[in-house]
Amino acid sequence: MYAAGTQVWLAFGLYLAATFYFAYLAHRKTSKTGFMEDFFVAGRSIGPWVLGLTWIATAASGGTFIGSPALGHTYGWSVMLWICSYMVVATTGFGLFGKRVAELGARTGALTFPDLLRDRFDSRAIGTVSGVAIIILYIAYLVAQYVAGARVIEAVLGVPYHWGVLGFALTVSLYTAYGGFRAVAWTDAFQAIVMLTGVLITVFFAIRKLGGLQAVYDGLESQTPDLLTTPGPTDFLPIPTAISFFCIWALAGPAQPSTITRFLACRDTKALKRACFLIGIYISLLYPCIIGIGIMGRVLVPELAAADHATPATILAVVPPVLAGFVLAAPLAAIMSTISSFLLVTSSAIVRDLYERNLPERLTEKQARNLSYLATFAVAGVALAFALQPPDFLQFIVVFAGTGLAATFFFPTLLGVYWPRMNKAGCLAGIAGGFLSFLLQYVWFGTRSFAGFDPFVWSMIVSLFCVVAASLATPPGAESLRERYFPKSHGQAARPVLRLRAIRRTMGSAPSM
Amino acid sequence: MESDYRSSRREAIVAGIIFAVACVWVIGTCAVLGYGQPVHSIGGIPNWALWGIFLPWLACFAANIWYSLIFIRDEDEPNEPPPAGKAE
Repeated sequence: MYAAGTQVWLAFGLYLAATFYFAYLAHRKTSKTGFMEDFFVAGRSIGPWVLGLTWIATAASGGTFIGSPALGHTYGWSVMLWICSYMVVATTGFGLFGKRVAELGARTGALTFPDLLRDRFDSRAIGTVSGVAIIILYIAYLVAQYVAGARVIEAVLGVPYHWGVLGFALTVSLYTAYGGFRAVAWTDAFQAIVMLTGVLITVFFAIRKLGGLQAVYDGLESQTPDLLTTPGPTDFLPIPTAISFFCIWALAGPAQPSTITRFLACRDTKALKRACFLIGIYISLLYPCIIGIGIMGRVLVPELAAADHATPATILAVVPPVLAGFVLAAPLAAIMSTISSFLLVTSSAIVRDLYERNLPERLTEKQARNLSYLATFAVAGVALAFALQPPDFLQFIVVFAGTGLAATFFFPTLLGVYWPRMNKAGCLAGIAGGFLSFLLQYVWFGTRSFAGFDPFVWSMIVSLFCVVAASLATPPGAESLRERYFPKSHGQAARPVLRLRAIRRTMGSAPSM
Repeated sequence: MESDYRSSRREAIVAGIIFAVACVWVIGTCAVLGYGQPVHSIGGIPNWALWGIFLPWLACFAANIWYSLIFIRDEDEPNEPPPAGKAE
């Protein structure tokens, strides 16, 4: 434990109070759409600020705030190369998926990621497979986030691990179930501001204490010159690994079901454009500074009990106590925002994709409400049970949830929304090919597969090949589907569908099944 | 008039090109200036990181401003007009 001052406790308390206040405000602001559309995509009314901040808060997890600075502390400047493809994440995330997914969400009434794929290929199997994958992998990811959050609280406040896990599970599931997507998005936005402010304050005080970047350079050189160059100590980042991570951060993050779901809640193109612009600024400030905290921490606090303590130890070494509590809320904010988003994506997969869409009739408002609350608490409970005694294979599932899920769904989703010729067989082949390829490579080779590349890179290539080959080898999908998803010009299909949706809204009915 | 689909596809292709150019610039420069080459400081930043990470980062930052504010086509009709005073 590094500190447990009253100010730190007070700051944590204020942070939690503010989080619940935002959830309360969100709960009061309900739209006129049905419960499911309001609970899972906030009635598609999210504007640019909230959209951008919830998108990045979901992507930045405990790993970003705890794991990345720990790597910076251990491997020095080479970690800047490891993380640097965040320079294009706003462009790839919003450019490849943002506008197109938002359009299709509005046109088809899709509420979830599996909804999107299922409707595109008119396949119950695709919806069910992607729903099951999301449930299993995101519960595992939730467990990892609970563990990370409890470890931070244990290190900083001295709260025993089990109580920390319990506190995390209860707090986040309460506000997620209470306010649904709108509460998650609003608290995410607040937490994203906490995260960036905390990081900038830490970097400011660290540079001031060290006397400038040149002093950091000299400090690292005096410890070991490997900290200043690539591939870093113990061959941390050979070129194939650097290429792999450039692809992973720029493509895997935006292709996650939890981030794609954000676009379904987008209000209009204008909001999307502004969110893309804002996120470009946010990311350019956040990520270099996060790695900078680890690098400067190496000079400030060279010896740590564990590398994962790099962030809290650096904060407590440089930030005045009166501010330290607020700054320490940053990693907790990152973890909580990720947990809330994953909770909602997982519960929506249960309620919407596995249950409602396999029923002959739609759920009533009351049934949908009760089931959504129940599913949110059930998912949190299952993750809590695992987090109290994390299983040995957890790390594998977390790695898969982080990159394997993207390797599995990236091309089936990307080509699904852009390539009219793609069909159900191509989608299923792409999912199966990406999944099996990643699984087998990871089991046989670990994180360095053929030619030193990460299994993610080869799995993406395999998945792409499977999508294209299976689609071309089988008959194209129904003409009506292609006309619906790929209208040739304005006025042929897109606008009438949008009008129909507006009419449906006016009449108070739910999105199409 | 160009459909939403076609404009989105065009924007996705340009996003892919920006990603590819950034990847080549970053990996190429770092491979040439880092990886076994002598390193020196430029204002406290290793030379390979300045030319291979921070300069392309600045370029991508500028590209994203152009892409988001100018290049992405603003569709003439929103997905759904929000209820009056309900924008978040």
